Amino acid sequence: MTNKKKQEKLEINKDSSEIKIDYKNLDVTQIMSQIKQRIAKEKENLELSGSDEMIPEPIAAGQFPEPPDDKGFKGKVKKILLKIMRPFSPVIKFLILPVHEEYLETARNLHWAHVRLDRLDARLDAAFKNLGIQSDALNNVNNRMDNLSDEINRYLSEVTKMGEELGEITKSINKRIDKVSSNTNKRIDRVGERVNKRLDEVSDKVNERVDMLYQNSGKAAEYIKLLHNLSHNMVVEMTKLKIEEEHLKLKTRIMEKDFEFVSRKEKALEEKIFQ
Amino acid sequence: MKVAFVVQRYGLEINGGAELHCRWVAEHMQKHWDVEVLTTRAYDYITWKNHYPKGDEIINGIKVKRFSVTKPRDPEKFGRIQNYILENEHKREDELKWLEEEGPLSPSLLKYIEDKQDKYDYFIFFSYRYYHSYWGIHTVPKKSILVPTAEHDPVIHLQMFKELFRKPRAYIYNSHEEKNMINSLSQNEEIPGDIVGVGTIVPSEFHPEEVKKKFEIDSDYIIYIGRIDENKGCDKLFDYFQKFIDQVKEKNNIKLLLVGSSKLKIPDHSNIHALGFLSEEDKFSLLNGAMVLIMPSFYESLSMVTLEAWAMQKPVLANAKCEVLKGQCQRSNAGLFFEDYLEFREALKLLLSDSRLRRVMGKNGKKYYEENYTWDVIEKKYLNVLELLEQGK
Repeated sequence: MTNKKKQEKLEINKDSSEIKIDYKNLDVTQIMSQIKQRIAKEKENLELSGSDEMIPEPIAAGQFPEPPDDKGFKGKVKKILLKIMRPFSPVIKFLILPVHEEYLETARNLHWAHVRLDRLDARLDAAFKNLGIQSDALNNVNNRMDNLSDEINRYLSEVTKMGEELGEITKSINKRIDKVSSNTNKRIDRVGERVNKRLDEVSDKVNERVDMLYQNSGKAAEYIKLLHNLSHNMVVEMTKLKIEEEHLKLKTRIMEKDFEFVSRKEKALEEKIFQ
Repeated sequence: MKVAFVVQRYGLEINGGAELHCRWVAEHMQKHWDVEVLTTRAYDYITWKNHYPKGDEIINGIKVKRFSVTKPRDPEKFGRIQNYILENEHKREDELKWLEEEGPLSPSLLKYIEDKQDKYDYFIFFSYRYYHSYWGIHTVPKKSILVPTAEHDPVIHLQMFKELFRKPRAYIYNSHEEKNMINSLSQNEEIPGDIVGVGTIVPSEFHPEEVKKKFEIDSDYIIYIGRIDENKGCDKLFDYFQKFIDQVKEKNNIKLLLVGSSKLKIPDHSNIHALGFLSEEDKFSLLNGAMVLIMPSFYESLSMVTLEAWAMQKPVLANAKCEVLKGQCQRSNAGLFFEDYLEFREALKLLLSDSRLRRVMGKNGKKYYEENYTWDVIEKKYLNVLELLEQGK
């Protein structure tokens, strides 16, 4: 593939500079794996620059939040005492000036130094804890990796064994297939010969019978012709006979009438004679 | 062929989950079979209280037989029993007690199935985890087809379900992941079936500009459609999206629109707009105008909204912890997926900034939808499953 074609296929998305997308054969799994790689890199960078986060932010002078109120019995007593002393506070302030302001500032500074120290302490604890967890996790991962590699080795050896066994089985199967196929071919050949022989015999017989039928069919055609002539003649004769029968019937009817006339004439003559 | 669809709830008002899935399939299959629906009178899926009138009803041309729920669910008691069986060693009786508490408890439905089993050729049961499916399949195992609608829910590991999964005559799965999960749980690979899912109907016309005006949306947006619930990962979505807006300055004008009824407090943020439950027309118009559909849900057996987005050529950003959604994104190459905030940020940033990627993903989604989830394909698969069973008779 030429460079130009390669460039066409892998077009780099401008907005997300590191993700390469093959728009023609889009593969979301591949895009996601690129995104994952990118995130992993980002996390790595964050971890590298993470040491700065451990340093607490400097607290500007005069911006300290007010110290938290004391609670409980002690706090209540303190409040009551402050209330009682409030009318005398200008006098007290006046008596301890200028120590008062300085004293307050120092007290505040000390308080917030403690707070910062506590915060740092807590962060340090958390960091140690995290380190502990991470080292435990790392140990776990290492153990699991060891276990996995042991298992993989075991599987691999088993797979190799199985592969060898499979090879032997395949060999024996191939041998048997060869044997069976040669036997089958021989049997097919034998059966084929027998079938061909039978086919030849059957076709000879069929031909003979066809010839006979052909000869017989010629004689039959002659007979049919004769029968046809015979039937024609018979029809002619029958027609003649029918006509003759009709003729004779007519004659009989005429003779019957003649006979009736003669008998009536006879009766009339007899009557005249006997009168 | 007379086929009964057996489902826990059924009605035009129920617009999601296995119930809508069942209704759509039943309505589409009525042109091939004589279809009847056997269901309960429940509407509320938390208590299963009787809501619909008893007896028969015709819904979109299908005869629906409703049976009473004899004991509504006591959510507190149910939660207690569920916690007990999930956290302690227990007996089969405990699991059956849990099932009875879960409901919907409708013995008359089961009695009907038992008495009238000869009247029907097959019974298609929806949702493996409910009372009607468990006992229904036990009543007519030879005639039962199960549409499990199973998710990576802890209750699927209960012993009773492992046994149940070996009972039906056939399966209609929603996804490859669901099939693999059920196969590995119960070793029921020999039972025939197919991966079918459900189709969807996308209106031919959209009015994204009108809807934008109607809801006063003046910038690009991504959209979430569905129940706004912790179970659907919406709390995480809010958290991630707000961080995204804070961190990714070049995309901080993007809006997140939420469509659906809310069971969770929605943060008061100028970029998050909850529009409530909308009509199908408005929903599709908004989806059509969106840049990306977000699916933060952990448990899905098949996300209909995702399919609708793909049908409309929209890319999806899904929760990778939901194997079904991740699998569908990978098979279709029409969506990205995230496991944590950083992946969400990077994937969303990429999708929003790369219009060509969105276009290509949209096309892939459409192709995937047309090959697997149009109604013609779905109907054919259902017919094939029953034909296979008929041949084996």
